[in-house]
Amino acid sequence: MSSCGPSQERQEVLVHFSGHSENNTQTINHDVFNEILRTYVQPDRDGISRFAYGEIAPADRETLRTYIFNQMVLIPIAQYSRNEQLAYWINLYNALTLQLVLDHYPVRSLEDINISPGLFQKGPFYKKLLKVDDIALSLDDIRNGILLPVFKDARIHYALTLASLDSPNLLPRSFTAATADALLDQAAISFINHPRALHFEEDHLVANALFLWYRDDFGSGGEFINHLLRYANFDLAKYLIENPPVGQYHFDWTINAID
Amino acid sequence: MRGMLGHIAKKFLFIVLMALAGISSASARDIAEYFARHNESAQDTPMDFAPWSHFLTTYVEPGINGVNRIDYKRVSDEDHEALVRFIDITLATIPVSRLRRQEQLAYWINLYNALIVRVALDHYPVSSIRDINISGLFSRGPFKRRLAKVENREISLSDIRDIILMPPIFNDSRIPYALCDGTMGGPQIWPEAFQPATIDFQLNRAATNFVNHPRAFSIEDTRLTASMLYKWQKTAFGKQDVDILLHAIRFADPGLVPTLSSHSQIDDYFYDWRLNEPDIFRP
Repeated sequence: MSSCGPSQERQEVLVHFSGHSENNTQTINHDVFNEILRTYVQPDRDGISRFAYGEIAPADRETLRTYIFNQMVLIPIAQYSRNEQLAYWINLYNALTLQLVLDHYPVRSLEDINISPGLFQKGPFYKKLLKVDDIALSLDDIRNGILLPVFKDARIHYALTLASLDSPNLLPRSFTAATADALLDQAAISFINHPRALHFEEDHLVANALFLWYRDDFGSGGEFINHLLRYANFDLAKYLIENPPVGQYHFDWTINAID
Repeated sequence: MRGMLGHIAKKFLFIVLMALAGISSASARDIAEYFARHNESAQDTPMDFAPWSHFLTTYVEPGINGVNRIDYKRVSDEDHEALVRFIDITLATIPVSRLRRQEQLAYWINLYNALIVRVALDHYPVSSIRDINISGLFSRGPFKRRLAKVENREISLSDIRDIILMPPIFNDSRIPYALCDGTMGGPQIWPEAFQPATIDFQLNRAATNFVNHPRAFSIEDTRLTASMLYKWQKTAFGKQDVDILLHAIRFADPGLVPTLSSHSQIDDYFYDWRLNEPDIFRP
């Protein structure tokens, strides 16, 4: 989607944040974010995790802000190992998204936080929200300019929250370099096997719009089905092996707050 | 002097307009007469819609607002050329006036939809079909331009929609729902061609699909807004608002019936002219 931003600028983001150093054995501490997630993420009986935006303590609001704007942004992330980078960007994306919702709470939907530049962009995704290594970044830059092109791992989409009912679940813990791979699997399994990701109607799949927006990453046709089959439980798999077409896409942007 | 020239200019303009009107009405009458022909005792005519079906299954995808989209941007040069050949060679050489009505119906619907997609591709990138101004000075969009040749007669999209597919030749109020104008607001494109054997099912599905989507009917406060389609196609749906509503109720889901039957008039009309391509937006 070259139309999503100046591609020259996108190139610079990618070139800069492609840098890494596997010799660097330093680890990044995400404990404070972990604590916030552990406290306020609530798995619900319907299988959709909620965040207690309305109940967050002022001290924790401040902790989240400090974590993002005083701690994470100062880390020279291009000099870290790939695994540290993976955890860093996923946590930063999720922390920023929560920060945005909290700044505008109560808000009905992330789409209503219309701060992106340009007439046709809904939501906050294209607004530069912070600077890392002096490079201004938006949520879109982090997801589509860094995470996907650098790590080339479609499971990442299952780890990034869109703070809404049809979004992949926010896990009640932060990512770390050591746990990132296992958590990505967990996120993929949890999302793919929930009806808001995929369900069947007559002879076709009703699919979450995540699969439409990122089909370049998930693949199309048989490739897409194979991706799903890696994480599908038996009940889902027996339908998927019939290779059904997607007949419908949907996305419910209602905020994932606790009622 | 000025008055004299003005008089001559007016007279000249009048003659030109009459000539234009004369040409177009003669041609419309010719089209109406010629394509009224059919032959119900004709054998099954093998019509090869496969290239069109192939195109549709490859490039039609669902949109998240419930309206199918065409991914014009992804269409390869090869598939664009194959579509042109399908229209200019495959369809142009079918003796449509000697087919049965049901076969003709599938033929005209496929031709109409294929022409729309072709004209959009020929002018892509374009944000709306209405911006493809190739029909002369006084007409917006490509609808009046004679884009196809069928049995050596040059015909336009509007000839197909408003003359051939209308009474007295075809008398079926479901037909407008099968014609896709390449817009977000109109009836959607389907991922397969219309086929004579399944056309009744396909027309019902197209009618039901459109009528029950908010772009056909929506309520705000107590005002009923309907798609412009209902204003444009009064010949098919009925002249009075009540006729239109009674027509729509035939295809309405149980949830929509009370809404439609509690209104006796349409308060506003709406139509989204944006090209039916995938959303650029993604989070």
